[in-house]
Formats: sequence, structure tokens, C-alpha cells
Amino acid sequence: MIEFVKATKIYENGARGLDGLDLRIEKGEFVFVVGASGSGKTTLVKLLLKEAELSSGRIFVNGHELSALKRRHLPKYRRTMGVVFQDFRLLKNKTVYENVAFAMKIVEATPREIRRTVPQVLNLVGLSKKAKAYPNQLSGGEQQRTALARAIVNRPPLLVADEPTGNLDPDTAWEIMTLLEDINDLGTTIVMATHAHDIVDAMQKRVIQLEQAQLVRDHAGGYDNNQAEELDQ
Amino acid sequence: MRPRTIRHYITEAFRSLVINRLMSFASILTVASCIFIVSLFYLLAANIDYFLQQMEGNISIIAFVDDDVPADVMQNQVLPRLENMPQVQSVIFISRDQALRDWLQGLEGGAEAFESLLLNNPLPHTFEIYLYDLRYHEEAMVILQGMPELNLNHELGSTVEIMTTVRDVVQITSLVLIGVLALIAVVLIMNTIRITVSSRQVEIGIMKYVGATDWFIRWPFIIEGLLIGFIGGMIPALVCRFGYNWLVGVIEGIEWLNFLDFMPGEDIFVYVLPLAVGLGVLIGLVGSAVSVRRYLKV
Repeated sequence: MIEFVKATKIYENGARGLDGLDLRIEKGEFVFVVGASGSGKTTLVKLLLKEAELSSGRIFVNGHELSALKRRHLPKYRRTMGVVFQDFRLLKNKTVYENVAFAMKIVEATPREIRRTVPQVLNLVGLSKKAKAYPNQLSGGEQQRTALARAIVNRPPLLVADEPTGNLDPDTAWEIMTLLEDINDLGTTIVMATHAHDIVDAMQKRVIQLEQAQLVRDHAGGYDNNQAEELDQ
Repeated sequence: MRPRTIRHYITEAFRSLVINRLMSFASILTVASCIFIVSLFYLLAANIDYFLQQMEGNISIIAFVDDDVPADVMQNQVLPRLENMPQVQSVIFISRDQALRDWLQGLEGGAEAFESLLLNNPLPHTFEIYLYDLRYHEEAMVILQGMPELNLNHELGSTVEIMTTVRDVVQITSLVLIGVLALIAVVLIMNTIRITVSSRQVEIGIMKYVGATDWFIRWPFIIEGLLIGFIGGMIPALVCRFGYNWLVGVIEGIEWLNFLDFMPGEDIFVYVLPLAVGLGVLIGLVGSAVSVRRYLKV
């Protein structure tokens, strides 16, 4: 599903975003990407979204070799994954329903498909009653659930989440994690970059830890608390 | 492109126009103001040119016919030659009798004293030659001077020179000023549309992340730009159309301004309407397409 082969990203200012990363994520996995600020988490997410270009090495996602992917094929590639951001990134002029339906309009779904699927997905994330609300009328948790609904409405095989609980209180964060786990149970591969130690520890999933742009740990289980504390210092 | 996708683009464009009404209003106002100034100047320039054209229309070359030219030569040879000259719009023939009658009629009282002239008319036959454009005066004069039957009035030369120079200066100045004004309008409008689009940079970025193609994002913006340009062009066009007729009516009602002759509204707006709306639509369309482009590279 996802493979990084000696993936290196060096920014224009000389800073290393990733340094020779070798990594393989199989279909259906739930993977946490952890590490301190500047460790390379965001670079990894940007590379997956092809928002940034590799300096050397290769990345394969859903059968696409990203370096070889032409700009005109980028929209088609991005439709193979759902994306959730810390700041939700909802279209503020559209209602909850329209935000989710927008992702379906892009793939030219028929109006009938949209009318059938959007309510189902809103029901899945518990937002049926908020379908007509605008983002500024929603709580943080509800906005993130809308973003989740938008990310999964086209049933992508991969969901990339960049700090999806970063702006949420602990209870709401857990609601989102439960939803993500449900989505993963339906077969969607999830790659989630996060700072949240408690969530990583409690979920007991595969953890990829980055430090100074390099992979320092990759195995199932919780956060490596000792090392995390060292990194935070 | 499927019909429902086209419907989506149009709906989104109208929707966005309403939702971002403050920015839309600002853009429409800028487009309308700029095009209004350009149109206003065009109206002024067109009327000055029209006024000069009317003045020119009253100026003719006077050619006297030699006494010894027989009437049939005059009618069958000289007149057709004059009428067939490419520079000549029309020729009026005034017989010597007609000329004398006109002259006598012009005398208020005392005409009886000159009645003896009826027996021995000293006035010659005359051709009044009107040209399509006074700019042809010189070449027409060369041809006319080559006709031995005619005696030409040469005093017209300096008048023609002044008139054509004034018209040339007015036309060139108008063209340059309209060009400069239009250019300023384009820059101002493009800038306003750029600000409108940049205020929605985040929105464009989100669409890209969700997998929208560049054209899926671009079309609603282009249609929106087109609508802004169309409305922004129609407003000054209509204001000028009705304002012009009203203003002409007012000025024509003022006695001491009676000498002014205005271009008919119907004639002038055949150009102004498509010019204003076309300019608005073109700038709106190109402005939005160019502005969106820079935010699509996400």
C-alpha cells in the first residue's frame, strides 16, 4: 500500500525533513507517526499528499510512484486517499452536507449517489442532525467529524490524518479516535501523525517514531515514553 | 463535461457571488467606475469629432464656370466628371440666373436698383463641390485645376488645413487618452479581482487537497469573473445610454448653446454598449482566470 525507499527530503534552506527513510505500510494497517516538532512527521504527511517533492529516494502509494506522478494526475491520486487536518479545513461557505457532498461532486458522482451516500456517512460520524449547519455553527469535534465524513465519503483505501485531535479536548479526541478505529475496521488503511502520547499508548497500534528526520523506532505498542520525554527536553 | 458538472459550475458561481457579496460588490463597482470613465471620455471624443465633421460638411469647393462653356458641355461632360471623382461626395450646380436671384433675395430693400442686372447678369455658373473628407482637398484640387472649364476659389486652403489639423489632434489625443484610461481600468480591475480571489485562497487549497482538478476549481471563478464583468459593464453602458439622451435634451433646451450639434444616441451606442460590456466581460474573465492560476499550485 505505502512504501518509502531511502526517502530523503531536504528543504531549500538546507533543513532535512526526512533522511533516508525506509518504511512499508500494508493495506488495512493503523499506523501512528510520532515524534517531536521538527522530527519529520509533517514532511512525511506532505510527501504522502504530494504537497512536497522528494529530494531523493522513492515513495509508492496505492500503486503510484509519486516522483513519476505528473501534475495533471495529482487530483486523481489525491482521490485515492482521504485527508484530515488539525485545523479541519472545511469550506466555510458550505453546510456540513455540502462539504461532504463536494468531495463526491469532484469525482462526478450522480446526484442520486450523493443523496444516498452523504446521509449514510453523516450518520456514521453522528452528524445527521447537523447536516444543514455551517462550520462556524459547529464545535471543534463536530467540525473534525465533518472533515472525517468528507475524507471517507468516496471510500478511499487510505486515510491520512495530520494531528486530527490536536485542537480537541480529551473527550472529543477520543470520540474521533473511536471513529477512526471504526473506519479502520472497515478496511481503510490509516496513517495518523500525532503528538498525543495517551492516545498512542491506549490504542496499542503500530508506532513509527521519527527523530531528526530519521526513523528511530517501528513496532507495535504504545509510545516510547522515556524516549519521548528525552525528545521533548 | 457533463451537464450536471456545468450546472454545478454555474450554481457555484452565482452562489459565490452572493455569499462573497461585499467583495463582489467592490469588484463590480470598480469595473463599473473604470468603464464609466472610459465610456464618458469616448462619448466626449466622439461628439467633438462629430461636431468637426458637421462643420466640415458645410465647407465646399466653389468652382466657377467660364462664360464660353456651352450649357450641354457643362451638363454632359463637366458635371459627370465632377460627380465621378472618388473624393467627391456631392455636387450642386447653381446656374448664373439662380445665383443672381439668390443674391437679390438676400438684399433687404434696394434690390430694385440692381434689377437692371437681370438683363446683363455678371455672375457665372457655379459648382459647389462637397468632399467625403476635407483630407482629400489637396488631391481634389489637383484634378480640378486640370479642368480648363473651371475657375477655382483658392481661399479654402488655409481653412481646410486648420480644420484637418484640429480633427487630427482631437482624434489622436482621444485615442491616446482612451487607451491610457482603458489600460488603467484593466490594471485596477485585475487588481480588484485578484484580491477577491486571494481572499478565497484557503478555499482553493482545500478543494485541491480533496482531489479537485484545476478546471473544476477554475470554472466557477471564471464564470463569476464573467458575471462581475458583465454587470460592471452593463451599469455604465445603461447609465451613459439614458444619461446621454437626457443631457443632450437639457443642452438643446439652452438657447445660447443652439449651435452645438450632438451625435444621435442611437448612432453612438451601437459602439458604446458592446464596447463597455465586452471590455467588462473580457477583463472579468481574464482577470479571474489569471488570478486563480497562482493559487492552484498546491
